[in-house]
Amino acid sequence: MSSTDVLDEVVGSEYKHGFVTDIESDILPPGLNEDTIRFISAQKEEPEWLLQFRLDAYRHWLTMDQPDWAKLNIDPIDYQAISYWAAPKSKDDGPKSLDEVDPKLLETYEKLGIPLAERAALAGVAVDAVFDSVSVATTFKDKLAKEGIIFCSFSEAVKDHPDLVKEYLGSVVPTGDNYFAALNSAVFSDGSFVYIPKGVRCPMELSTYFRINASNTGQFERTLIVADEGAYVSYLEGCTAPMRDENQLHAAVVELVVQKDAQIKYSTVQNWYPGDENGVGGIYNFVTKRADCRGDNAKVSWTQVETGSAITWKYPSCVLRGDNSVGEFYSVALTNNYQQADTGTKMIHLGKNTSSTIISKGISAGHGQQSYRGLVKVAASADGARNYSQCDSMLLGDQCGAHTFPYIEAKNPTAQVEHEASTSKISEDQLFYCQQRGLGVEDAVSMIVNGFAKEVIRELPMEFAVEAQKLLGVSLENAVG
Amino acid sequence: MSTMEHYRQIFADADMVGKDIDWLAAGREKALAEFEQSGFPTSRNEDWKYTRVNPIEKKAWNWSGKTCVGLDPEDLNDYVFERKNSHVLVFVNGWFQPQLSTKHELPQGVTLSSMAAQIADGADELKPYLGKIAQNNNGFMALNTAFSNDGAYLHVAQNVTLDKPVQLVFIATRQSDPVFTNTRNLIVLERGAQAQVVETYGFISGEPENFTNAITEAVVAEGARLYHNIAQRESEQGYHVSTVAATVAKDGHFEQNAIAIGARLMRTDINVALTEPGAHATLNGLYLPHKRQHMDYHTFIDHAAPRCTSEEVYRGVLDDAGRGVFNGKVLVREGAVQTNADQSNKNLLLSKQAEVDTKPQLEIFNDDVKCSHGATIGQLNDLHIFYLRSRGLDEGQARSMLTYAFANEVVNRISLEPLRDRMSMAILDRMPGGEELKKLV
Repeated sequence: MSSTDVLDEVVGSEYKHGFVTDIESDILPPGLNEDTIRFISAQKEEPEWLLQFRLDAYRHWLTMDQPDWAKLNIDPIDYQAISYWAAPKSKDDGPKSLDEVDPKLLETYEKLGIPLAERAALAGVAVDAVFDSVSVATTFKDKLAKEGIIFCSFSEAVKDHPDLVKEYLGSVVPTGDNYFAALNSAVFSDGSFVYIPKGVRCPMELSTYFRINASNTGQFERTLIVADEGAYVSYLEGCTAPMRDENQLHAAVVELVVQKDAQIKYSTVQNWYPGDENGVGGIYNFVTKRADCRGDNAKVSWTQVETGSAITWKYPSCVLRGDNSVGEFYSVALTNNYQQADTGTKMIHLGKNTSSTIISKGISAGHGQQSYRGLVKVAASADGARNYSQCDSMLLGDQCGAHTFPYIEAKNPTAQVEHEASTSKISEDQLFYCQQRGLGVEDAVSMIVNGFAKEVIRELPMEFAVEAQKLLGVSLENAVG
Repeated sequence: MSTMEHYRQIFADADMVGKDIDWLAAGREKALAEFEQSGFPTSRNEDWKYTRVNPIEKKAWNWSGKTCVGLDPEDLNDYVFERKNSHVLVFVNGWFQPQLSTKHELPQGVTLSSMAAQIADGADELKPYLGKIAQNNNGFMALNTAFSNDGAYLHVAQNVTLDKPVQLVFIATRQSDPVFTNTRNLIVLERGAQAQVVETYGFISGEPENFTNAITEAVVAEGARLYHNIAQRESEQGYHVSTVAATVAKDGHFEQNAIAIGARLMRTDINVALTEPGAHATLNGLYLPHKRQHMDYHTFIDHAAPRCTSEEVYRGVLDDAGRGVFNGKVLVREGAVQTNADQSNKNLLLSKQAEVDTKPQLEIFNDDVKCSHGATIGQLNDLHIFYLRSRGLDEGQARSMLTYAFANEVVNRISLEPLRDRMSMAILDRMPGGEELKKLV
């Protein structure tokens, strides 16, 4: 049975994408038990402690129930029907040329203005020499190594830098943190590892896109970024181009460790397959992301543009432990057709004079349902804590929904917490104005939505921002009129 | 004996009003079964996350029949204003006390009586409403439905305006046995009717460790206007759990001011359903927990029809180890187009041990709406304090004055002037240097 068949069966999905993989030899039969985990660990030649880490997580996971508090309708997931290990794919898989790729997908690439050579790579076409990126990446790698920066896949890190991994893995998101994090900790496939040494400012934006061996990180991605004292790094995850993946369930864990005076900027553009117009298929994206500001004056900034996935369950959080540490969360989430998103952030103020900013923009169209769910917690120790939250929702169409669930807990009399939220539809006046200036309805809506989301988009690195803007437009197609 | 056995036992022993009325008895029996099923809410329940009710659960509360009370109307002067100019119904430990009440002549078409009397004389009149507006959403409500006997019943006929305000005064006294009172009020305003109602919860003689478990159901028919006020001034040793459930029909208007001063543990749910086009709800509230008080307001406005509007202003002043909880939910259903809903919740944290947990919640299922909410937590402004001190006030006075001003934002919204004054004074009584301030305001 091929992997797609298995997964299709799991979720009862009718989605059949162009590139069906042939039967692979190294695929583990569906099912999850301790042997599966031992097998994965052995395949990856992991040290004993990591196997133990996985097993602990698995045992804890068994005692937990899938959370149901989010405002999401999730079809039951049969965890025993998923295959948890597939050997890295050979280049013979997948479509042989762009001709075999779903024309709709190509059309989208066209609209996003993605270079021809990259389109092939994104669509999963096996290209022998992946255009320039190999050489580009090699150059990058040299440059990074000179600074002492470690940027590699998680598996490499386990082999080459076991001490670092051992020290930080699971220290921000413990194995038993939540259901999906526990599952990830037990069976994570691969991911990225970044270490920026003391006082180093990473000279370029690090991106999964440029990582060598970025081939297939699988559905249980694990990312660990450590910024040592005074270090700075900007990390980009994902890509504006639609990512097609035959795995329905994605449960990633991202851990950020921010030491004294260090700063991490983490940007995400998530555009997994959202399912078709009728809500059939699509990715379940259950992500645990957390940053721990361990030292004074640490700063962490999450920026996310979420347009994909059938279901998004994601709350990038900041634990502001060090005095004067700063947490930021900028988010644009767009749901169209039958997409559902329950997303937001947690800002845990523990240190003195910590501050946090939350800007969340939700756009809901079609039958999309969208929730902002956030927590701002000011502990008794957080003198002078400051938070500003703003969550705005825009509704396009009378079938969609927008919800806000902001939790604010304050235990310190010197804390200042402000929360504002508004929900409204797209302004008729603005639409009229744009149309009267000769713009089509769709362009006008795209422009207004981009204006609405501007506060967040401008936090993205430049080239990402340009693509994200186009992405919002493309994702909203057929939402109006 | 387990908790459930205890309540089953006293249920069997209690000499309830109207026990031979089938539908009423069946309703009570059903509610008790529901309570046995659900028990008291736990903090695992999202709606009760911040409020633990163990202190209530731990005690074996008893049901009490009518008892003699040696009180004079004058003893209630703290809680009653302008007897001459309002209808006053006094309840002591859950039972109506005619000798302490004042009922003036009522306009044609107005019924104002105690629930027990109404059940005895004309229970059928209650049947279409009782338990229909407030569902038994939690253990407390089920418990109330099972054990309620008395309360107030107000019915205002079509196009009648009740000129004098109605004051419902619920007094707890110290008793040897822990006793719970399950007050049940029903207010029905027919088309175009108008009324002002004040519910006051207070105590006399020491600080009783009482448990008030109240439900008020209100029906506001087409074009009717109900001004509803709750002054919660229970004993600081007591427990207060209550629910107000209202439905507002076409172009109806429901306005409520809720002020919480007393009780060791308070939880009040206010559920308003705007069921027909053009209905409006205004909810104002103020909670002032100090010492170790815990106050929890849960409001829920259900926009179920087009063109409804709602406005909500809640403020909290939290001192000592006081804890405040605010959960303001606004639901805009599919098809409830041209909804306009505003909500604001501001909190003043005055002490290191105080805590506030606020959750303004919007759930919106349609695009033609204008909804907003805001929540803040902050302190007194140093500049303002400096200004007042430069004018000759000491720091304590300046702080009290600014705190009072913050709280008064809500009090000023009370349209009933004598009540407004009473509330202002009650708030000042709790502030350091309040006596001084009274001269100034």
